[in-house]
Amino acid sequence: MTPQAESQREIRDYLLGGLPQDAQRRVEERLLTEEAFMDELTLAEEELIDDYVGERLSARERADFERHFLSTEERRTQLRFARALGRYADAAHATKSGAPSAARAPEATGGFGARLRAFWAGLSFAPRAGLALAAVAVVVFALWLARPARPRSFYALALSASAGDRAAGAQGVPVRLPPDAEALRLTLSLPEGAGASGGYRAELLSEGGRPERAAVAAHDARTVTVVVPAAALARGRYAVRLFESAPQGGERRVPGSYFFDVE
Amino acid sequence: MKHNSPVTQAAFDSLLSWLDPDRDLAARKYEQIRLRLIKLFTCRGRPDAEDLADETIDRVTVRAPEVSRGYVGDPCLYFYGVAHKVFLESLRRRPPRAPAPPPAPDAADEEAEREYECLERCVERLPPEGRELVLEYYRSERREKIDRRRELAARLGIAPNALRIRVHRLRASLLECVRACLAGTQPA
Repeated sequence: MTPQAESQREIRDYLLGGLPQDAQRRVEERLLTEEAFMDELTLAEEELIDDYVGERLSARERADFERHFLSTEERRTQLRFARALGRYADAAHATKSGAPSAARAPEATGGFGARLRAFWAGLSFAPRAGLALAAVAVVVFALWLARPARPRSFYALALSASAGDRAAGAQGVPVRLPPDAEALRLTLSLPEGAGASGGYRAELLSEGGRPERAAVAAHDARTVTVVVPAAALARGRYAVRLFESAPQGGERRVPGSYFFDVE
Repeated sequence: MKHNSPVTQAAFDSLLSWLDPDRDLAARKYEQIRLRLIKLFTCRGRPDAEDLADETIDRVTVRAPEVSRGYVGDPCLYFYGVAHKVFLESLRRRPPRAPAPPPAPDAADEEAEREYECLERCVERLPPEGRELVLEYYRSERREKIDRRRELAARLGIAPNALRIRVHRLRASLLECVRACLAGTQPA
């Protein structure tokens, strides 16, 4: 391990409360006396938080992080911020990768691909045509099997955007799904200033859960229709967030959220 | 210097002289020491880190006229010794409690909502290259993250450590902007 890596390891252990007393003293003396050490420690804190958010900590580190590192409000704030930043970066990336991909094609190798090409080149016209037709039939059949089953019965609900602050009046609309409803169809009114976008993406958030992508079925200048399968909805509070494609690329959050409570 | 502290002006002047003969530099060192003490108490898991840092400084200041005369070495180390005592006393006064469970990853609560909206606004205020850099750096792909960051540093023609520092500065400015936005003090 290089001296730099060793120092980083020691700082990380210190942050997790896992250093023996003499090593802890060494780190803290550096913190008090070395000009650049405070920055190094702050960087290590951020990276530790990122690793926690990205689930890259061992079980032991994770436990120490929650028990020791998260013991101050300031660090809990930083954790929330890191999560928001990660989600935002992922959402921006997801929008970008919807465009034609610039990823490199895997390089040809002399393995299975080369053998397959050699086999194909050795066939005459009739077997080639037969194999090609069979392949097309298999693909069509697979696509037919994999087609998404469209719900036939909906429970329809119209919602308006609420500001984030529920104390200012944003209440969830109560929803009682009939047993035969296969999906919830939400017609979301766009707030003033939105509606000029060519496309939308929707996220469904449940209490304590991760955001899930929700299907956008249609949109016009005033509304966006989102369909959520009934099977995906348990009792509890939900919020839908909309993102619209930005003209210069990327996407923009449509202000506000759409709240509803499944009863 | 706090108004309700036992520190006299003479003691405070003596502390500043001890830190540096130049008054401006001494004031800067004083602030740095305070921030570092806050960090130290935070790292030791104390939720009242700021109060403990101030208490440490007060104690050192009261003793500065006497101690500074015979002390050899970096005054910061003297602060460190006092901070350790203050820490031990604080444990007796207020033993550490089991921390609250970590905040849920993505709750549909209004605080997370507002924070996300503020973050969007703040990211839009970054210069385009800063925005790109932050978004690329914080994508959450687990396995490839280190390679991707190395590639990113190479693309920018800087060392990986320089990239860490550049992104850290952007992140710090974003966090500051989000805090101002949440507090409603952000300029339009």
